[in-house]
Formats: sequence, structure tokens, C-alpha cells
Amino acid sequence: MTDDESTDVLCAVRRRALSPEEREKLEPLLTRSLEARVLHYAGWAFDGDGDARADDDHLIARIAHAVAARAEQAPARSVWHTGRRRIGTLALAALALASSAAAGAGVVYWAGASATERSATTDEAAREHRSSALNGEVTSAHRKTDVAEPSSSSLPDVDTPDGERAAASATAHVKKHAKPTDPADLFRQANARRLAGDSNGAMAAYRRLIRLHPATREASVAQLSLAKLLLARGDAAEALKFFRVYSAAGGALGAEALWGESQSLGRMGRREEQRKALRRLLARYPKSAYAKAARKQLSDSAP
Amino acid sequence: MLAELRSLIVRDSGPLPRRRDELDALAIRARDGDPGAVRTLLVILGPHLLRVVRRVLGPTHPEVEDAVQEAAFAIPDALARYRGDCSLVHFACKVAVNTATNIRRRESAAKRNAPDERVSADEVAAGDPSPDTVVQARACAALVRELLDSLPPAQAEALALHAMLGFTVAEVAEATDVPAETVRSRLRLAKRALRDRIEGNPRLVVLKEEAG
Repeated sequence: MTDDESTDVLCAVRRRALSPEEREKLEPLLTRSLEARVLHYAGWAFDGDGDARADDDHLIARIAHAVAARAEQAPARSVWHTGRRRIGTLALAALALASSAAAGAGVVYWAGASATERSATTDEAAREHRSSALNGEVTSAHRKTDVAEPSSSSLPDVDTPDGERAAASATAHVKKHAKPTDPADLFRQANARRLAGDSNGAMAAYRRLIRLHPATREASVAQLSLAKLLLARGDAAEALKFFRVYSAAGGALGAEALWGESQSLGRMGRREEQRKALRRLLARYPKSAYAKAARKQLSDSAP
Repeated sequence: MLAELRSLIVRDSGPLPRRRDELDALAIRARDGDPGAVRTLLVILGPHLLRVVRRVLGPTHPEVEDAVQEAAFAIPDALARYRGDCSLVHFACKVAVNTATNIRRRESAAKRNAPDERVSADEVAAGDPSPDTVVQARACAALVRELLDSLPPAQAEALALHAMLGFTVAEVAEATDVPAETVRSRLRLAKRALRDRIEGNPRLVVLKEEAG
């Protein structure tokens, strides 16, 4: 076995189940090399140390907000803002779903269980957005608003200074009062409100998204985000409903939904049902980021 | 115990994702100071930064939060050096590794003791693997962390990316922007230093006995 092969098989065993050939390489390596054995043991411990925690999303949102605030105070640094604005907007639309899944669902973005499922979901979303972008669909969709565009006859003459001001004012009015109807836009708006700490605004936007586009992927993830906000506000019964709806639909963030369900039940004092939800979580997602906490709660609440 | 060790299977995530296309466009906007892009990017990268910092410092280290914040503030500036040779996630992991390693070195220079490598009761109570294995794994992790403080920075970086994050030689080479042969050389030297430490570590006696 080459040096690289022995190094890489130690990485592979931490990522996936090894093939029989790889196992044949690993065993003699661990027997022969003390360093390899130490690195193998240490790798297991390091992987455990990286487990996500329930309050990670708040920490990340706070830090992201602080860094963004600093960026806001600094002047823009390049011409990319003008030349690539459209490309960036499309990319942001594609990433809004992924970023919210990470922040809104307990920081599980690639950090815990169902990595493949999540990756598939977000990649699929991004692919769809890329494909739409190529066809020019996303740009037009993003322009949809609830506010009627002013008719051409009512538009001011922009060739005069007064006309320019009036046109700018009209544009600002449309921007300020626009309510997006596109599911991706609604989802992005709701996430932005949540990250800004506007829980009520975020919940309203999530509810609107679920009402207007119940069959979309965005609405599905919105149910989970809404449930988390409801639980944080203390409305465990309402939160439980949305966690269960999400679970029933079989979304990629099933571990988070089950964890939320168990916490909602716990808040409502329904201990036996909570224990059942925790056991279900461990049975379905034994390697999820919530597994350790679930085991602890089960152990603490053992009759 | 060795048999049990061999049966340990990943309990973290699958292969690190490569989402280069999507994140690159966002990274460009973040690099240019677009606050919305910075926020979105950090929400995406945040879990990775946390994961890396917890691995390098230890999950109970009091400076985990500060280290993540320091790494997050460093990312927009570091993006100017990002050329797309590796995935953005790996690039961010490297930034976090260096931030956390620097914190360890500062502590070491100030002769402050890092928190003990305590074995969590939860891990032992879980019963799989056995308490002995958990204790040995914790001792090994502590040894690697201590080694990071004394290695030259380039070797420490390569060892952290490989041992703590599970990067392959090729992935370390991409993330650090050096040839694979250089990575091999750095890892070889780091492993030699590791072996010296193992020899003098009484906590690893079981491992040494298994080696015969």
C-alpha cells in the first residue's frame, strides 16, 4: 500500500462504510502502524467533537449578522456589483433555500445526518435555479409583485429633474411595499426577517408561503422553520402541528423535525410521547447531530 | 479493543460536499462587500466553521465562540485569495483551522492550560464503543491537539486538515495550494513527531501493547 493509500483509507473510514478491499487495507495498517492507530482513534473523537448543538443556528446567525454589518459600513470594493449583479441575484436565489435549511433547521447543513439527502435537495434546487436562469425565467419571476405597476400614462417624464425624483420615488415605493409572490422570493424574505430577529414578520412570511404555494419545496422547509419559531415563542402545540406535517411529508430534515416534535411534546408535559419521539429519532437517524442529545434526554427521563 | 476500533464507522457526515458552482457566485459578491451575500455565505459556512473550531480547540474550550467569530470575520478578506482551486467549504475550513490553531499557540505561549480532555458521561453511557475505547480515543485526540502547538505552522496545518477534518492528501494539497508531494512530506514529518509523543505518553499504554 502506498503512503497516500494508507493516509486516505483513514479518511475514508470516517466518511463511509469501507469496501471489502479497503477493509483489507485498513486492518494491517492499524496493526502495523502505531501512528495510524492513534490517528484512527483520534479521528473518531474529533468527529464526535464536531457535533452540532441545538443553539448553533442562533450563534451562526448572530455572527453572520455582525460580519454583514461590518461589510455594510465598508465601501463596495469592485465593479462586480454592476457587472455581475444579475448573476449574483440568481445565485442568491438558489442559495436562499440551502442557507435557510442550515440556519433554520438546527445547523445540520452537512454537519450531521442525512448529508446525502440534504446535498441532493440543495443541489437539485440549485440545478433548477441554474436551469431557469439559463432560460431567463428566474429574472422575470423575481420581478413579480403584489403591487400593480404604474400605468405608462401615469409615469412622470424622467427627462426633467422633477421627473427623475418622482420616478425614483415611485420605484422606492414599489420596492418598499412590494410583497413577493414567487415561492423563492417569499422564502428568502422570510429567512431574512428571521435572521434579522423579526420573528413575527418571519412567521407571517412563512405562513403566507405555505398558504400560497403549499406544494413547493420552499413551503415544506418553511413548515420546519415556522415550527421552530413557534416553539421558541412558547407555542408548543402549534409548533408540534407543523413539525408533524413536515415529518409526514418525509423531508430531508427529518431528524430536525423529530427533534422539534420531541421538544414540543416535552414542553407540553407529554413525557411518554416525548420519549417515543426520541426513540423514533434514534431509530431513524442514529448518527444525526441530535442523537447524542436524544440519548441523554431518554436517559435523564428514564422511569 | 482493536477489533472494536476497526468497526468504528463514521458518525459525522459523508464526504465533504463540493458545491463550487453555486458558492462561487455568492463568494464573489461577498468578497466585494455585499452585506447580504456576506450574511448568506456565513450562514452556509457557519456550521463548518463551528465544526472545525470545536475539533481543533475541543468542544468545551471557552474560546470556541470567539474563534468562530474571528474566523467568520476573516472569511470576507480571505476571499480575495480564493482562486477556486478547492471547494469554498474546504477553503473556509482552512481559514478556521488556522484561526483556531493560532489561538492554541497564543494560549500555549501564555502558558495557559487548555481544558482537560474529559470523557463525556454520555459517550460512555451510549455503550458503543466501550468505555475503554472512548478513553483511548480521547487520549489520542488530546495528543494530536498538543502536537499541533509544537509543530511548525505548515505541518500543523496539514496535520489538522488531515487528522481532525479527515481531508485526503489531495484535498489538503488543494486547500493549502501546495503540491501533493509537499503535503506528503509535511504529514510524514508530523507523523514522526506524533510517534515520538506516543512513545512518551503513559496514557496510550494499551495502544502500544496492542502494537506488540
